[in-house]
Amino acid sequence: MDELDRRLLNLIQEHFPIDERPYLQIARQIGSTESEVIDRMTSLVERGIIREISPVFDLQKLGYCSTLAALNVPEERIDEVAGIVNARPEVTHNYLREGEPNMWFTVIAESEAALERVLQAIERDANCGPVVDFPAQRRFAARVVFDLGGPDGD
Amino acid sequence: MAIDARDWAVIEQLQKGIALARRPFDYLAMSAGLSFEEFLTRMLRLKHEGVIRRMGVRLRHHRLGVQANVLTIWRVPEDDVERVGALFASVPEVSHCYTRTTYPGFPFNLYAMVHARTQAQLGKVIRRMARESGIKDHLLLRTLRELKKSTPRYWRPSE
Repeated sequence: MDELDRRLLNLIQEHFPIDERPYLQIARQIGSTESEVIDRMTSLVERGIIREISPVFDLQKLGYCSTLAALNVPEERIDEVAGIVNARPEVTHNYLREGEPNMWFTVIAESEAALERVLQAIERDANCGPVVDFPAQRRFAARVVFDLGGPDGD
Repeated sequence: MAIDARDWAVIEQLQKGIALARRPFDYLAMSAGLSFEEFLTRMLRLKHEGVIRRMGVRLRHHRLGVQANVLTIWRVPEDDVERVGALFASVPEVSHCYTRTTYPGFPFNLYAMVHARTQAQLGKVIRRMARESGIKDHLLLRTLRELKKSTPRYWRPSE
């Protein structure tokens, strides 16, 4: 990755233009050309650095509900229970973490009632104690944007 | 804002991803059954109203050297949550920071996800957060394994 790639990524992490010719707008802002921006982004996708070019939505404004939930899974059942939890399309992330509980997953659904049904179904199918629900109360920060820094990468 | 059926058509198409083509929104507008102008106008309004929180690309951070991350959970006195939450949110290495429900025996009410290039830098950031907030009671829930990571998908709710 060179300096132009870094400038490109720093810009398009947050500000992908809503425009007829978005790549032309990007090119103007970073001092490049439309075709070079498209070529470089194609390469960043191929190298697996860009995962997806799509907006991040505010799920509450779309009428969706979400929560963080956790299960305490015995060591020998982790793969099996992960399979049960991950099979639910409403589960977007799932991590095995240190401590108790150890399996932490995020769930989204169309309503509080639908969310509750998903948690109950996971609890029933996983059969390893209660699913503990940790709904968010206040959001202070929610961003996944990183400053890629300058040429030294610091 | 009220989101109507045509907005949902825009939202559903955008989730398919924006193509690396000179005019990437033409195809999405066509698929949504809208004119290009209407598609763009609705997209701008969704952004303005905050329904689209961020127009951007999603990166694989471990490929960029951001390889250390940890979920930190903190026990913050209720009347101090506002200050500490704002402080943590201002730390560039913190991506998500929320207050969450507590339980007897599990008193941690503030969650902050922290990312850094190395474990050493991560440790430094967390020590600084503890020092500046004055909150001593906290745990690091290190990731042992990523079991699932997918992009949330939203559809027009069935009535």
